[in-house]
Amino acid sequence: MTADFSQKKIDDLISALLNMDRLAVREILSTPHENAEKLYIIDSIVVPALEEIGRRWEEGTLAISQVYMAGVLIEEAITALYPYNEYDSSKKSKIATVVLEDYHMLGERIVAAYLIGAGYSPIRYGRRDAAELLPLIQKDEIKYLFISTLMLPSALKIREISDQISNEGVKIIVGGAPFRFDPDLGKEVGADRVCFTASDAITALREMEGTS
Amino acid sequence: MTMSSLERILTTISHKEPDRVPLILNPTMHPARDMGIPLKKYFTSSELVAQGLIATREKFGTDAYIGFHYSPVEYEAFGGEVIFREDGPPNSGRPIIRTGDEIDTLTAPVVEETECLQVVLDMIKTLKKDAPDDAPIFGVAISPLSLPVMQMGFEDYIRLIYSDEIRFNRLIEVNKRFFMDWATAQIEAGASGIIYYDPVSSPTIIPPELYRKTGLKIAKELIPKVPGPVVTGFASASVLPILDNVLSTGTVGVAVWGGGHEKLSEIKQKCAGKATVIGNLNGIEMRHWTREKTFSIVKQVISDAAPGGGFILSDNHGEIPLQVPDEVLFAIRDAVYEYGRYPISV
Repeated sequence: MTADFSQKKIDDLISALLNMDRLAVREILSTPHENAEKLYIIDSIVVPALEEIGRRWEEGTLAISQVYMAGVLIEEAITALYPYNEYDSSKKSKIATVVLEDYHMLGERIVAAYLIGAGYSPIRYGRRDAAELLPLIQKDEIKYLFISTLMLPSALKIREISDQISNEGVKIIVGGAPFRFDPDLGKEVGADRVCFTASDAITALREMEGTS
Repeated sequence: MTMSSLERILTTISHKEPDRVPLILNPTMHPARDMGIPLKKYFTSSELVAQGLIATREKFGTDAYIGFHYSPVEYEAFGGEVIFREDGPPNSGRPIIRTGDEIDTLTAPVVEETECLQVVLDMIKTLKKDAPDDAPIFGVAISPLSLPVMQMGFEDYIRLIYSDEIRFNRLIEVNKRFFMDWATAQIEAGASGIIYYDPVSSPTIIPPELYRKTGLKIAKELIPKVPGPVVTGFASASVLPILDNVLSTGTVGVAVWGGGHEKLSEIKQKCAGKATVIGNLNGIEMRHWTREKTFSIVKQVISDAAPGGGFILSDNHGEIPLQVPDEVLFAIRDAVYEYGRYPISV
Protein backbone atom coordinates (compact mmCIF):
# COMPACT_ATOMS: atom_id res chain seq x y z
CA MET A 1 0.00 0.00 0.00
CA THR A 2 1.32 3.47 -0.79
CA ALA A 3 1.65 6.31 1.70
CA ASP A 4 -0.98 8.30 -0.24
CA PHE A 5 -3.38 5.38 -0.08
CA SER A 6 -2.87 5.10 3.68
CA GLN A 7 -3.29 8.83 4.24
CA LYS A 8 -6.58 8.80 2.34
CA LYS A 9 -7.77 5.88 4.44
CA ILE A 10 -6.74 7.71 7.62
CA ASP A 11 -8.62 10.84 6.53
CA ASP A 12 -11.66 8.78 5.54
CA LEU A 13 -11.63 6.96 8.86
CA ILE A 14 -11.40 10.20 10.84
CA SER A 15 -14.36 11.61 8.88
CA ALA A 16 -16.38 8.45 9.38
CA LEU A 17 -15.65 8.40 13.12
CA LEU A 18 -16.51 12.05 13.61
CA ASN A 19 -19.68 11.69 11.54
CA MET A 20 -20.53 8.56 13.56
CA ASP A 21 -20.94 6.60 10.34
CA ARG A 22 -20.67 2.99 11.52
CA LEU A 23 -21.04 1.51 8.05
CA ALA A 24 -18.28 3.67 6.64
CA VAL A 25 -15.98 2.76 9.53
CA ARG A 26 -16.56 -0.96 8.91
CA GLU A 27 -16.06 -0.54 5.18
CA ILE A 28 -12.80 1.36 5.57
CA LEU A 29 -11.40 -1.22 7.96
CA SER A 30 -12.68 -4.34 6.21
CA THR A 31 -10.14 -6.38 4.39
CA PRO A 32 -10.45 -9.82 2.86
CA HIS A 33 -6.74 -10.40 3.20
CA GLU A 34 -4.47 -12.12 5.66
CA ASN A 35 -4.01 -11.36 9.33
CA ALA A 36 -0.75 -9.56 8.59
CA GLU A 37 -2.68 -7.04 6.55
CA LYS A 38 -5.11 -6.55 9.37
CA LEU A 39 -2.18 -5.69 11.62
CA TYR A 40 -0.98 -3.28 8.99
CA ILE A 41 -4.38 -1.61 8.95
CA ILE A 42 -4.41 -1.18 12.70
CA ASP A 43 -0.89 0.21 12.79
CA SER A 44 -1.09 2.31 9.65
CA ILE A 45 -4.72 3.43 9.57
CA VAL A 46 -6.43 3.08 12.94
CA VAL A 47 -3.68 4.25 15.26
CA PRO A 48 -2.78 7.34 13.18
CA ALA A 49 -6.48 8.24 12.95
CA LEU A 50 -6.88 7.95 16.73
CA GLU A 51 -3.69 9.95 17.24
CA GLU A 52 -5.04 12.71 14.99
CA ILE A 53 -8.32 12.75 16.92
CA GLY A 54 -6.31 12.99 20.14
CA ARG A 55 -4.26 15.84 18.69
CA ARG A 56 -7.39 17.77 17.74
CA TRP A 57 -8.82 17.25 21.25
CA GLU A 58 -5.57 18.51 22.72
CA GLU A 59 -5.64 21.64 20.55
CA GLY A 60 -9.28 22.22 21.48
CA THR A 61 -10.91 21.68 18.10
CA LEU A 62 -12.70 18.47 19.06
CA ALA A 63 -14.97 17.90 22.05
CA ILE A 64 -14.79 14.99 24.49
CA SER A 65 -18.18 13.77 23.23
CA GLN A 66 -16.65 13.31 19.75
CA VAL A 67 -13.54 11.63 21.15
CA TYR A 68 -15.77 9.26 23.13
CA MET A 69 -18.05 8.37 20.22
CA ALA A 70 -15.01 7.79 17.99
CA GLY A 71 -13.72 5.37 20.62
CA VAL A 72 -17.04 3.55 20.81
CA LEU A 73 -17.19 3.13 17.03
CA ILE A 74 -13.59 2.02 16.63
CA GLU A 75 -13.95 -0.48 19.48
CA GLU A 76 -17.09 -1.93 17.89
CA ALA A 77 -15.43 -2.20 14.49
CA ILE A 78 -12.16 -3.70 15.68
CA THR A 79 -13.91 -6.17 17.95
CA ALA A 80 -16.17 -7.31 15.11
CA LEU A 81 -13.55 -7.40 12.39
CA TYR A 82 -10.59 -8.75 14.32
CA PRO A 83 -11.77 -10.94 17.16
CA TYR A 84 -9.45 -11.27 20.15
CA ASN A 85 -8.26 -14.76 19.35
CA GLU A 86 -7.20 -13.86 15.86
CA TYR A 87 -5.01 -11.04 16.95
CA ASP A 88 -1.29 -10.90 17.52
CA SER A 89 -0.58 -12.63 20.81
CA SER A 90 2.33 -10.28 21.54
CA LYS A 91 -0.25 -7.56 22.02
CA LYS A 92 -2.00 -9.42 24.78
CA SER A 93 0.27 -7.89 27.41
CA LYS A 94 -1.56 -7.76 30.66
CA ILE A 95 -3.12 -4.32 30.60
CA ALA A 96 -5.85 -3.00 32.86
CA THR A 97 -7.81 0.23 32.99
CA VAL A 98 -9.46 1.55 36.13
CA VAL A 99 -11.19 4.68 37.37
CA LEU A 100 -10.29 5.53 40.91
CA GLU A 101 -13.03 6.28 43.42
CA ASP A 102 -15.46 7.88 41.04
CA TYR A 103 -18.64 6.89 39.25
CA HIS A 104 -17.74 9.10 36.28
CA MET A 105 -16.03 6.52 34.13
CA LEU A 106 -15.85 8.34 30.81
CA GLY A 107 -12.08 8.77 30.79
CA GLU A 108 -11.40 5.12 31.55
CA ARG A 109 -13.97 4.04 28.98
CA ILE A 110 -12.35 6.16 26.26
CA VAL A 111 -8.84 4.92 27.05
CA ALA A 112 -10.03 1.29 27.00
CA ALA A 113 -11.78 1.84 23.65
CA TYR A 114 -8.70 3.43 22.10
CA LEU A 115 -6.46 0.62 23.35
CA ILE A 116 -8.85 -1.93 21.86
CA GLY A 117 -8.81 0.08 18.65
CA ALA A 118 -5.03 -0.25 18.63
CA GLY A 119 -5.29 -4.01 18.98
CA TYR A 120 -4.85 -4.44 22.72
CA SER A 121 -7.17 -6.30 25.06
CA PRO A 122 -7.31 -4.36 28.33
CA ILE A 123 -9.06 -5.77 31.36
CA ARG A 124 -11.55 -3.16 32.54
CA TYR A 125 -11.70 -2.92 36.32
CA GLY A 126 -14.30 -0.15 36.26
CA ARG A 127 -14.65 1.88 39.44
CA ARG A 128 -12.36 0.75 42.25
CA ASP A 129 -11.04 2.06 45.52
CA ALA A 130 -7.27 2.34 45.82
CA ALA A 131 -7.09 -0.51 48.33
CA GLU A 132 -8.72 -2.94 45.88
CA LEU A 133 -6.13 -2.50 43.17
CA LEU A 134 -3.09 -4.38 44.44
CA PRO A 135 -4.82 -7.78 44.86
CA LEU A 136 -6.44 -7.35 41.45
CA ILE A 137 -3.26 -6.63 39.55
CA GLN A 138 -1.48 -9.47 41.35
CA LYS A 139 -4.26 -11.92 40.48
CA ASP A 140 -4.37 -10.84 36.83
CA GLU A 141 -0.58 -10.44 36.51
CA ILE A 142 -1.03 -6.95 35.13
CA LYS A 143 2.00 -5.22 33.63
CA TYR A 144 0.50 -1.87 32.63
CA LEU A 145 -2.15 -0.16 34.74
CA PHE A 146 -4.02 2.83 33.31
CA ILE A 147 -5.61 4.90 36.10
CA SER A 148 -8.16 7.58 35.30
CA THR A 149 -9.25 10.14 37.88
CA LEU A 150 -11.64 13.05 37.82
CA MET A 151 -11.07 14.61 41.22
CA LEU A 152 -7.82 15.79 42.80
CA PRO A 153 -8.27 13.76 46.03
CA SER A 154 -8.66 10.58 43.96
CA ALA A 155 -5.53 11.42 42.00
CA LEU A 156 -3.62 11.96 45.24
CA LYS A 157 -4.77 8.50 46.43
CA ILE A 158 -2.53 6.98 43.75
CA ARG A 159 0.45 8.06 45.87
CA GLU A 160 -0.69 5.68 48.61
CA ILE A 161 -0.46 2.64 46.35
CA SER A 162 2.02 3.53 43.62
CA ASP A 163 5.10 2.18 45.43
CA GLN A 164 3.44 -1.17 46.09
CA ILE A 165 2.22 -1.39 42.52
CA SER A 166 5.62 -0.46 41.12
CA ASN A 167 7.24 -3.08 43.33
CA GLU A 168 5.12 -5.64 41.51
CA GLY A 169 6.82 -4.55 38.28
CA VAL A 170 3.70 -2.80 37.07
CA LYS A 171 3.93 0.45 35.11
CA ILE A 172 1.42 3.08 36.19
CA ILE A 173 -0.02 5.35 33.51
CA VAL A 174 -2.34 8.11 34.73
CA GLY A 175 -4.71 10.61 33.15
CA GLY A 176 -7.70 12.80 33.86
CA ALA A 177 -8.56 16.39 34.66
CA PRO A 178 -6.28 16.92 37.70
CA PHE A 179 -3.25 15.89 35.66
CA ARG A 180 -4.13 18.34 32.92
CA PHE A 181 -4.13 21.22 35.39
CA ASP A 182 -0.97 20.27 37.26
CA PRO A 183 1.89 19.01 35.08
CA ASP A 184 3.82 17.88 38.17
CA LEU A 185 1.01 15.81 39.65
CA GLY A 186 1.99 12.60 37.84
CA LYS A 187 5.45 12.69 39.36
CA GLU A 188 3.99 13.59 42.76
CA VAL A 189 1.82 10.47 42.85
CA GLY A 190 4.52 8.14 41.55
CA ALA A 191 3.17 7.52 38.04
CA ASP A 192 5.46 6.27 35.29
CA ARG A 193 3.61 8.24 32.60
CA VAL A 194 0.92 10.88 32.32
CA CYS A 195 -1.41 10.85 29.32
CA PHE A 196 -3.24 13.98 28.23
CA THR A 197 -5.32 12.34 25.49
CA ALA A 198 -6.69 8.85 24.94
CA SER A 199 -4.35 8.31 22.03
CA ASP A 200 -1.42 9.19 24.30
CA ALA A 201 -2.26 5.93 26.04
CA ILE A 202 -1.41 4.00 22.87
CA THR A 203 1.83 5.93 22.39
CA ALA A 204 2.81 5.46 26.03
CA LEU A 205 2.13 1.75 25.94
CA ARG A 206 4.06 1.22 22.73
CA GLU A 207 7.02 3.18 24.04
CA MET A 208 7.08 1.30 27.31
CA GLU A 209 6.74 -2.02 25.51
CA GLY A 210 9.51 -0.98 23.14
CA THR A 211 7.33 -1.51 20.10
CA SER A 212 7.00 2.06 18.85
CA MET B 1 -12.47 55.98 48.79
CA THR B 2 -12.72 52.37 49.90
CA MET B 3 -15.81 50.63 48.56
CA SER B 4 -17.81 47.91 50.26
CA SER B 5 -17.64 44.47 48.65
CA LEU B 6 -21.10 44.99 47.20
CA GLU B 7 -20.19 48.36 45.72
CA ARG B 8 -16.97 46.90 44.33
CA ILE B 9 -18.78 44.06 42.56
CA LEU B 10 -21.66 46.21 41.33
CA THR B 11 -19.16 48.71 39.90
CA THR B 12 -17.12 46.09 38.10
CA ILE B 13 -20.16 44.33 36.59
CA SER B 14 -21.21 47.77 35.31
CA HIS B 15 -17.90 47.74 33.39
CA LYS B 16 -16.45 50.56 35.40
CA GLU B 17 -13.35 50.54 37.55
CA PRO B 18 -14.01 50.08 41.30
CA ASP B 19 -11.45 50.90 44.02
CA ARG B 20 -9.72 47.57 43.44
CA VAL B 21 -10.21 44.26 41.69
CA PRO B 22 -12.90 42.24 43.50
CA LEU B 23 -11.80 38.86 44.84
CA ILE B 24 -13.99 35.77 45.14
CA LEU B 25 -12.44 32.67 46.68
CA ASN B 26 -14.53 29.63 47.49
CA PRO B 27 -12.55 27.25 49.73
CA THR B 28 -15.64 25.23 50.60
CA MET B 29 -13.93 22.72 52.87
CA HIS B 30 -11.38 24.87 54.72
CA PRO B 31 -13.89 26.19 57.30
CA ALA B 32 -14.85 22.65 58.36
CA ARG B 33 -11.17 21.82 58.81
CA ASP B 34 -10.69 24.99 60.88
CA MET B 35 -13.73 24.11 63.02
CA GLY B 36 -12.51 20.53 63.44
CA ILE B 37 -15.78 19.18 62.06
CA PRO B 38 -16.12 16.19 59.70
CA LEU B 39 -17.08 17.31 56.19
CA LYS B 40 -20.35 15.34 56.15
CA LYS B 41 -21.51 16.96 59.38
CA TYR B 42 -20.43 20.39 58.11
CA PHE B 43 -22.03 20.14 54.67
CA THR B 44 -25.34 18.87 55.99
CA SER B 45 -25.76 21.81 58.38
CA SER B 46 -27.08 25.13 57.14
CA GLU B 47 -25.82 26.88 60.28
CA LEU B 48 -22.27 25.53 59.99
CA VAL B 49 -21.93 26.35 56.29
CA ALA B 50 -23.26 29.88 56.88
CA GLN B 51 -20.76 30.33 59.71
CA GLY B 52 -18.03 28.92 57.48
CA LEU B 53 -18.81 31.32 54.65
CA ILE B 54 -18.75 34.30 57.02
CA ALA B 55 -15.44 33.10 58.50
CA THR B 56 -13.97 32.60 55.01
CA ARG B 57 -14.84 36.14 54.04
CA GLU B 58 -13.21 37.54 57.14
CA LYS B 59 -10.15 35.34 56.81
CA PHE B 60 -9.38 35.60 53.11
CA GLY B 61 -10.98 38.94 52.23
CA THR B 62 -13.33 37.51 49.63
CA ASP B 63 -15.90 39.97 48.26
CA ALA B 64 -18.91 37.64 47.92
CA TYR B 65 -20.52 34.65 49.54
CA ILE B 66 -20.98 31.64 47.30
CA GLY B 67 -24.13 30.12 48.84
CA PHE B 68 -23.20 26.58 48.02
CA HIS B 69 -22.85 23.32 49.96
CA TYR B 70 -21.71 20.76 47.35
CA SER B 71 -22.10 20.10 43.63
CA PRO B 72 -24.30 16.98 43.74
CA VAL B 73 -27.06 18.54 45.88
CA GLU B 74 -29.41 18.72 42.87
CA TYR B 75 -28.64 15.13 41.88
CA GLU B 76 -29.37 14.24 45.52
CA ALA B 77 -32.72 16.04 45.20
CA PHE B 78 -33.56 13.68 42.32
CA GLY B 79 -32.84 10.70 44.56
CA GLY B 80 -29.09 10.27 44.08
CA GLU B 81 -26.64 9.18 46.75
CA VAL B 82 -23.97 11.68 47.74
CA ILE B 83 -20.60 10.22 48.69
CA PHE B 84 -18.84 12.19 51.43
CA ARG B 85 -15.13 11.93 52.04
CA GLU B 86 -12.73 13.76 54.35
CA ASP B 87 -10.12 14.79 51.79
CA GLY B 88 -12.31 16.36 49.13
CA PRO B 89 -15.72 17.62 48.13
CA PRO B 90 -18.77 15.35 48.18
CA ASN B 91 -19.28 13.52 44.92
CA SER B 92 -22.24 11.96 43.16
CA GLY B 93 -22.66 8.21 43.47
CA ARG B 94 -24.28 5.80 41.03
CA PRO B 95 -26.41 7.35 38.29
CA ILE B 96 -30.11 7.49 39.14
CA ILE B 97 -31.22 7.06 35.52
CA ARG B 98 -30.12 3.69 34.15
CA THR B 99 -32.76 2.99 31.51
CA GLY B 100 -34.67 5.00 28.97
CA ASP B 101 -37.91 4.19 30.78
CA GLU B 102 -36.63 6.06 33.81
CA ILE B 103 -36.42 9.22 31.71
CA ASP B 104 -40.02 8.69 30.57
CA THR B 105 -41.24 8.68 34.16
CA LEU B 106 -38.80 11.20 35.64
CA THR B 107 -40.32 14.08 37.58
CA ALA B 108 -38.69 17.15 39.04
CA PRO B 109 -38.37 17.21 42.82
CA VAL B 110 -40.49 19.77 44.63
CA VAL B 111 -38.08 22.25 46.18
CA GLU B 112 -40.23 22.91 49.24
CA GLU B 113 -40.46 19.17 50.00
CA THR B 114 -36.82 18.25 49.45
CA GLU B 115 -34.70 18.28 52.57
CA CYS B 116 -31.25 18.68 51.01
CA LEU B 117 -32.44 21.74 49.08
CA GLN B 118 -34.08 23.21 52.15
CA VAL B 119 -30.75 22.96 53.99
CA VAL B 120 -29.17 25.15 51.27
CA LEU B 121 -32.06 27.61 51.38
CA ASP B 122 -31.83 27.79 55.17
CA MET B 123 -28.10 28.51 54.83
CA ILE B 124 -28.82 31.38 52.41
CA LYS B 125 -31.48 32.76 54.79
CA THR B 126 -29.02 32.50 57.71
CA LEU B 127 -26.34 34.26 55.69
CA LYS B 128 -28.77 37.00 54.75
CA LYS B 129 -29.66 37.44 58.41
CA ASP B 130 -26.24 37.06 60.08
CA ALA B 131 -23.64 38.15 57.55
CA PRO B 132 -22.58 41.76 57.18
CA ASP B 133 -24.91 43.17 54.54
CA ASP B 134 -22.14 44.55 52.39
CA ALA B 135 -21.39 41.57 50.14
CA PRO B 136 -23.56 39.77 47.60
CA ILE B 137 -24.66 36.16 48.05
CA PHE B 138 -24.56 34.00 44.92
CA GLY B 139 -26.70 30.89 44.71
CA VAL B 140 -25.68 28.05 42.42
CA ALA B 141 -27.84 26.02 40.02
CA ILE B 142 -26.64 23.44 37.51
CA SER B 143 -27.90 23.94 33.98
CA PRO B 144 -30.50 21.49 32.62
CA LEU B 145 -27.94 20.40 30.01
CA SER B 146 -25.22 19.69 32.57
CA LEU B 147 -27.18 18.02 35.38
CA PRO B 148 -27.64 14.72 33.46
CA VAL B 149 -23.91 14.01 33.75
CA MET B 150 -24.68 13.19 37.39
CA GLN B 151 -28.18 11.86 36.76
CA MET B 152 -27.10 9.37 34.06
CA GLY B 153 -23.31 9.18 34.08
CA PHE B 154 -21.27 10.84 31.38
CA GLU B 155 -21.10 7.87 28.99
CA ASP B 156 -24.80 7.13 28.84
CA TYR B 157 -25.60 10.81 28.62
CA ILE B 158 -23.36 11.35 25.60
CA ARG B 159 -24.97 8.37 23.90
CA LEU B 160 -28.40 9.78 24.68
CA ILE B 161 -27.50 13.15 23.19
CA TYR B 162 -26.46 11.52 19.94
CA SER B 163 -29.06 8.79 19.71
CA ASP B 164 -32.42 9.59 21.32
CA GLU B 165 -33.66 13.11 20.70
CA ILE B 166 -37.10 12.45 22.19
CA ARG B 167 -35.81 11.24 25.54
CA PHE B 168 -33.06 13.87 25.56
CA ASN B 169 -35.70 16.58 25.12
CA ARG B 170 -37.88 15.07 27.82
CA LEU B 171 -34.98 14.94 30.29
CA ILE B 172 -34.09 18.55 29.50
CA GLU B 173 -37.72 19.66 30.00
CA VAL B 174 -37.82 18.07 33.47
CA ASN B 175 -34.51 19.66 34.35
CA LYS B 176 -35.62 23.04 33.02
CA ARG B 177 -38.64 23.04 35.32
CA PHE B 178 -36.45 22.06 38.24
CA PHE B 179 -33.81 24.65 37.41
CA MET B 180 -36.34 27.49 37.40
CA ASP B 181 -37.87 26.39 40.72
CA TRP B 182 -34.46 25.96 42.32
CA ALA B 183 -32.92 29.20 41.05
CA THR B 184 -36.04 31.17 42.00
CA ALA B 185 -36.15 29.64 45.48
CA GLN B 186 -32.54 30.68 46.10
CA ILE B 187 -33.24 34.25 45.03
CA GLU B 188 -36.35 34.31 47.26
CA ALA B 189 -34.25 33.00 50.16
CA GLY B 190 -31.90 35.97 49.81
CA ALA B 191 -29.39 35.20 47.05
CA SER B 192 -28.39 38.29 45.09
CA GLY B 193 -27.77 36.30 41.91
CA ILE B 194 -27.30 32.81 40.50
CA ILE B 195 -24.26 31.04 39.12
CA TYR B 196 -25.50 28.99 36.15
CA TYR B 197 -23.11 26.07 36.17
CA ASP B 198 -22.95 24.75 32.62
CA PRO B 199 -19.74 22.84 31.81
CA VAL B 200 -21.43 20.55 29.26
CA SER B 201 -22.03 23.54 26.99
CA SER B 202 -18.27 24.09 26.72
CA PRO B 203 -16.52 23.14 23.45
CA THR B 204 -14.36 20.91 25.67
CA ILE B 205 -17.40 18.69 26.17
CA ILE B 206 -19.66 19.05 23.11
CA PRO B 207 -18.98 20.62 19.70
CA PRO B 208 -20.07 24.26 19.28
CA GLU B 209 -22.65 23.34 16.62
CA LEU B 210 -24.32 20.94 19.06
CA TYR B 211 -24.21 23.57 21.82
CA ARG B 212 -26.02 26.00 19.53
CA LYS B 213 -28.85 23.46 19.13
CA THR B 214 -28.99 22.58 22.85
CA GLY B 215 -27.23 24.50 25.62
CA LEU B 216 -27.53 27.87 23.94
CA LYS B 217 -31.28 27.54 23.40
CA ILE B 218 -31.78 26.39 26.99
CA ALA B 219 -29.70 29.24 28.41
CA LYS B 220 -31.44 31.85 26.24
CA GLU B 221 -34.80 30.59 27.44
CA LEU B 222 -33.98 30.27 31.14
CA ILE B 223 -31.46 32.95 32.07
CA PRO B 224 -33.79 35.89 31.33
CA LYS B 225 -36.49 34.25 33.49
CA VAL B 226 -34.32 33.99 36.61
CA PRO B 227 -35.45 36.79 38.96
CA GLY B 228 -31.90 38.04 39.49
CA PRO B 229 -28.58 38.41 37.67
CA VAL B 230 -26.98 35.23 36.34
CA VAL B 231 -23.31 34.39 35.92
CA THR B 232 -22.39 31.42 33.73
CA GLY B 233 -19.65 29.05 34.88
CA PHE B 234 -17.84 26.47 32.77
CA ALA B 235 -15.79 24.69 35.46
CA SER B 236 -12.37 25.15 33.89
CA ALA B 237 -13.55 24.07 30.43
CA SER B 238 -12.94 26.13 27.30
CA VAL B 239 -15.29 28.88 26.16
CA LEU B 240 -13.75 31.03 23.41
CA PRO B 241 -15.36 29.33 20.37
CA ILE B 242 -18.86 29.90 21.85
CA LEU B 243 -18.22 33.09 23.77
CA ASP B 244 -20.26 35.30 21.43
CA ASN B 245 -23.21 32.93 21.88
CA VAL B 246 -22.78 32.85 25.65
CA LEU B 247 -22.85 36.64 25.71
CA SER B 248 -26.19 36.56 23.90
CA THR B 249 -27.90 34.59 26.69
CA GLY B 250 -28.32 37.52 29.06
CA THR B 251 -25.57 36.36 31.42
CA VAL B 252 -23.87 39.20 33.29
CA GLY B 253 -20.66 37.29 33.86
CA VAL B 254 -18.62 34.36 32.63
CA ALA B 255 -16.44 32.26 34.92
CA VAL B 256 -13.56 31.00 32.80
CA TRP B 257 -10.24 29.25 32.61
CA GLY B 258 -8.06 31.29 30.31
CA GLY B 259 -5.25 28.78 30.33
CA GLY B 260 -4.04 26.12 27.96
CA HIS B 261 -4.98 27.15 24.44
CA GLU B 262 -7.27 30.02 25.52
CA LYS B 263 -5.89 33.34 26.62
CA LEU B 264 -7.50 35.35 29.39
CA SER B 265 -6.71 38.63 27.63
CA GLU B 266 -8.60 37.48 24.52
CA ILE B 267 -11.60 36.37 26.61
CA LYS B 268 -11.59 39.74 28.39
CA GLN B 269 -11.38 41.60 25.09
CA LYS B 270 -14.44 39.77 23.75
CA CYS B 271 -16.38 40.31 26.97
CA ALA B 272 -15.46 43.96 27.46
CA GLY B 273 -18.57 46.05 28.07
CA LYS B 274 -20.81 42.97 27.75
CA ALA B 275 -20.10 40.58 30.63
CA THR B 276 -17.78 40.42 33.61
CA VAL B 277 -14.96 37.90 33.40
CA ILE B 278 -14.37 35.79 36.51
CA GLY B 279 -11.18 33.77 36.87
CA ASN B 280 -8.40 32.73 36.33
CA LEU B 281 -6.25 31.08 38.98
CA ASN B 282 -5.42 27.39 38.59
CA GLY B 283 -6.94 25.81 41.71
CA ILE B 284 -5.18 22.47 41.25
CA GLU B 285 -1.73 23.86 40.62
CA MET B 286 -1.93 26.50 43.37
CA ARG B 287 -1.33 23.79 45.99
CA HIS B 288 2.38 24.28 45.29
CA TRP B 289 2.56 28.02 44.80
CA THR B 290 5.05 29.99 46.84
CA ARG B 291 4.13 33.50 47.95
CA GLU B 292 6.42 34.89 45.25
CA LYS B 293 4.85 32.75 42.55
CA THR B 294 1.36 33.66 43.73
CA PHE B 295 2.18 37.37 43.51
CA SER B 296 3.64 36.92 40.05
CA ILE B 297 0.59 35.02 38.74
CA VAL B 298 -1.95 37.39 40.29
CA LYS B 299 -0.03 40.35 38.85
CA GLN B 300 -0.14 38.82 35.36
CA VAL B 301 -3.85 37.98 35.57
CA ILE B 302 -4.68 41.50 36.76
CA SER B 303 -2.59 42.98 33.97
CA ASP B 304 -4.38 40.80 31.39
CA ALA B 305 -7.97 41.32 32.50
CA ALA B 306 -8.53 44.02 35.11
CA PRO B 307 -8.11 47.33 33.25
CA GLY B 308 -11.48 48.96 32.59
CA GLY B 309 -13.34 46.93 35.22
CA GLY B 310 -15.53 43.98 34.31
CA PHE B 311 -13.21 41.54 36.05
CA ILE B 312 -13.34 39.54 39.29
CA LEU B 313 -10.30 37.56 40.42
CA SER B 314 -11.17 34.00 41.36
CA ASP B 315 -10.05 30.45 40.80
CA ASN B 316 -10.80 28.66 37.53
CA HIS B 317 -13.28 26.09 38.84
CA GLY B 318 -15.43 27.66 41.55
CA GLU B 319 -14.14 25.56 44.41
CA ILE B 320 -10.68 25.66 45.99
CA PRO B 321 -9.33 22.16 46.84
CA LEU B 322 -8.84 21.39 50.53
CA GLN B 323 -5.18 20.68 49.77
CA VAL B 324 -4.50 24.36 48.98
CA PRO B 325 -2.70 25.84 52.02
CA ASP B 326 -4.09 28.93 53.74
CA GLU B 327 -0.80 30.69 53.00
CA VAL B 328 -1.53 30.59 49.27
CA LEU B 329 -5.01 32.06 49.79
CA PHE B 330 -3.54 34.77 52.03
CA ALA B 331 -0.97 35.49 49.32
CA ILE B 332 -3.73 35.79 46.69
CA ARG B 333 -5.57 38.26 48.92
CA ASP B 334 -2.40 40.26 49.60
CA ALA B 335 -1.43 40.31 45.93
CA VAL B 336 -4.85 41.66 44.95
CA TYR B 337 -4.47 44.40 47.54
CA GLU B 338 -1.01 45.22 46.16
CA TYR B 339 -1.60 45.02 42.39
CA GLY B 340 -5.38 45.33 42.09
CA ARG B 341 -5.88 48.97 43.05
CA TYR B 342 -7.41 51.03 40.28
CA PRO B 343 -6.14 52.55 38.12
CA ILE B 344 -4.21 49.39 37.37
CA SER B 345 -0.50 50.08 36.96
CA VAL B 346 1.04 46.62 36.54
